[in-house]
Amino acid sequence: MFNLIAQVESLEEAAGAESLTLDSAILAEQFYFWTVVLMWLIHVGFMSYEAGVSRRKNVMATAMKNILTIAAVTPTFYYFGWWIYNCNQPGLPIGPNSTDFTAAACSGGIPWSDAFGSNLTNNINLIFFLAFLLFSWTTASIMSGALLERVRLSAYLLLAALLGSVVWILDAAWGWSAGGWLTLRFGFHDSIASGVVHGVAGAFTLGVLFNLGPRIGKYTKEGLARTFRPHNVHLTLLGLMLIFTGFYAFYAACLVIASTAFPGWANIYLSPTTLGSIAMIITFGFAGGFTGGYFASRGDPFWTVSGGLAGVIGVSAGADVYAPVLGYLIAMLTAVLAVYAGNWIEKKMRVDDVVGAVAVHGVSGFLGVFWVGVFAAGYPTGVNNVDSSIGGQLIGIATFVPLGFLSGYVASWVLRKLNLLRVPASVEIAGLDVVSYQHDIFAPEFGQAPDMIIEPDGTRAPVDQVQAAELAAISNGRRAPDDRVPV
Amino acid sequence: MPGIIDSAPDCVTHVQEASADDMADFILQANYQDCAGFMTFGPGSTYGEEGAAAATSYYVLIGLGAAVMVAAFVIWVIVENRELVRFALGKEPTPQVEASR
Repeated sequence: MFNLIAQVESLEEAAGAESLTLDSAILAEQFYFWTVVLMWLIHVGFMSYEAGVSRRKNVMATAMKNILTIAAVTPTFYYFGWWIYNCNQPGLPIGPNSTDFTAAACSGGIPWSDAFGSNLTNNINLIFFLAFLLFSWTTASIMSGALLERVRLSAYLLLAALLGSVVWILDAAWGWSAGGWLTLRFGFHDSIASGVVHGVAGAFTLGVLFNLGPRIGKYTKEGLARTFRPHNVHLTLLGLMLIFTGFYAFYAACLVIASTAFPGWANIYLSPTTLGSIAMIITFGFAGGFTGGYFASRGDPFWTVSGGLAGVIGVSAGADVYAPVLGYLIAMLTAVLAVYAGNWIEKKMRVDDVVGAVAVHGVSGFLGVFWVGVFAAGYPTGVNNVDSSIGGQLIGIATFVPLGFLSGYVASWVLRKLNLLRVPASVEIAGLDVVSYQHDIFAPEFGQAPDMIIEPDGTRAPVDQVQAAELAAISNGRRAPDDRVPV
Repeated sequence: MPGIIDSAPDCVTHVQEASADDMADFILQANYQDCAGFMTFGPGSTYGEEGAAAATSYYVLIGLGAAVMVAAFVIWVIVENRELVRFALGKEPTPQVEASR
């Protein structure tokens, strides 16, 4: 009799466990679904941000670039991005028959896998893929703003596919997974992707910018930087605020939800954390970042709000473990350094990064990785439980910087040699919208004031005159031609 | 009446009427009782351990999508290059999109 009761209880427990597992799977499916929905706001934000920064004659081309990022990265990430993430964690590619413990994940990353389509026995693979896909759009979009007003749409789309579907996801396989070799061997810890997403995208962007060259008229013949005035700063600030809203979802999607196990949440390395922990750090990151950006830039609106972004990126790597006040201080310091780095890149390196992406994402991203080694060593990371350390973090940086930079540099060098990277000078001066759309995409009743450029001494001059003079100087041999500008 | 292309995997059966249990659950499970990968042209009931359980037609579909994706990139490059060269040579631009649309 007792035996029968025990059997019944056992069956009930099993039934309960099964039910809980299904509930857990559906909860996870919903959770990632809503993060995907909210992460769309990042792309709404990128579009508004970049459209505001660009001059009026380039607005539509800018917006199209952002929209078509989704068209370029989605299929490429489906065809090889997910395979790269799931089948390259040990370093070299493996197959689903490999003895490596990541082989099970690999089987779900192959395009023709039955887990990579509608499947009644797998609630997670597709929705998890979509969360990563949104990360990929974001990574590609980081580059987008830096290249504004002179890059070809098709060149950008090819580069976006390379960055979004190959480069970043390869470094994610190595250092942003429980089975990645950087994690297993060195305890590399970058829980919300400071370096994995932002740092690598910034390094890639810098490589592209070296080949793309500055906008015509950006620098005087003495090498001093002029400033192109954005056509709508308010739209830019609004865009960044939308990006910030989406970033909460980005942060949340970086966690693993496991409602049947204590405490219900894990970071990407499967170490315990909570949703509240990371939400707290992102919020304090914004607070510190805005503060640092404001003071370092002496109240400049663009750098104040970009400082918030830099601050969050600076605390992302350790957001799962940082104390709130530490996050606040690190974010502030990162934002200050990002402002100085941005000015240095523009004025000393003479790299025309329209939105400061290399400083805000690249410099802040790798600083974020570095800060974990300084302030958060000793946390077991990855299934080998290797402690986070300054050595492990530096090895990660030493791996990711060349991976990002060289990929961007080589790919853009090839496009430049094929004369497919940059629009002709006449198109750049006339405006990108003129070629593909019409002379003025805005309704004629909204009169257009001439675009002005701010000279290094603070005076203003019409952009068209400055650019025409620059071109004439090159044509007359009074100024060294820049072979990056196709005429 | 069957569709032009019957792409449902073999695991999708056609039960005459929904059972009372299915109705009570709000999910008509009977037709899909043996199914895993039920997508169009999909492998159906096989849940591949090796991630390679696709049916032949599914492989064809995957290959077709890849070819179209590559073609889209190539066409983007060619069309844009043609527009830019045309403009740079001083020919009239060919506006494609009106602002009102």
